[in-house]
Amino acid sequence: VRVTLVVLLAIGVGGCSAVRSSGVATGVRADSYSGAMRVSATVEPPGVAQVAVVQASGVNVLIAEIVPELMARARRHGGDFVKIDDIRSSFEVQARSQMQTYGCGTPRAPRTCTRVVTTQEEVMTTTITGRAFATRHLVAVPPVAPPTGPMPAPAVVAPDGPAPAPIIDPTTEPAEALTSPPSEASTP
Amino acid sequence: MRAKSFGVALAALAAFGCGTLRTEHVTTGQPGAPIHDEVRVVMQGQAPPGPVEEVAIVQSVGTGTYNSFERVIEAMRERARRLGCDVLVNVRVEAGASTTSGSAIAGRRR
Repeated sequence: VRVTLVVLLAIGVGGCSAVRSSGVATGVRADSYSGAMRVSATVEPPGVAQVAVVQASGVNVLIAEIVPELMARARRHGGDFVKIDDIRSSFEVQARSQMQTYGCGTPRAPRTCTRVVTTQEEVMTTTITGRAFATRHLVAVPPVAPPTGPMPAPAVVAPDGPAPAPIIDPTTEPAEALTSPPSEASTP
Repeated sequence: MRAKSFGVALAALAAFGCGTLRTEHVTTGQPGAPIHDEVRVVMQGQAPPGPVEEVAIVQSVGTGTYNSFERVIEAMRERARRLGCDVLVNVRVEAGASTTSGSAIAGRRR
């Protein structure tokens, strides 16, 4: 019985704090990567290889803990850039068992008893889904088949301005996604 | 550790009927100096107001008395101001029975 209580207590205290991730390779194979990494929710690097679809989720934690796990998963697939496509939270009411101790003796013979109390608790699961890219692997452009008919006139493209700057520039862009300092929790 | 704090906060909520408001961000661009201007809110599915330079991804979670759309949006706005951002795009808010969670991309209009 005591062992069961300890297990229940362990589940109650630490059983719902996991951050986990998964990934599916989607084409180009790349060695796992351990260097600097970039994360974006709005842009994806043009002309580079997508190596995986990645997902990370955490229960009762926020993005500052989930994104690093997402990055780690992308690294394992050889990615050095993560484009975040979706962030969503879901809620579920779960029964949670807690062990409580209470005084159950008499003034002359004090004793401490334990009991297991089950409470209903809402847990939040936040899931982030994205795509991992290996910006150091340019996608090979397939050779163009020679035209069989008459040659078309070349298209004239007038540049409107300077060429757009590359998205990845280690000299000007932050090399590492920085997580925020410890979150603020306020209780009135 | 944070999850444990979250659990303790939820227990406190149940015991005292108050609540918590947690806001976090992940920097994805270049933050600027804090601003005091109004932060525009653009919900998910709406077109952003022109080009936006991405600075961070923001999430805010409110429970108890903070379990509301307004509180969560305002918390994300405040975090955006601290990062020097004047717009929140792709704002998404999801509500449970006692918890509301919002996420957004904080940026600067060019």
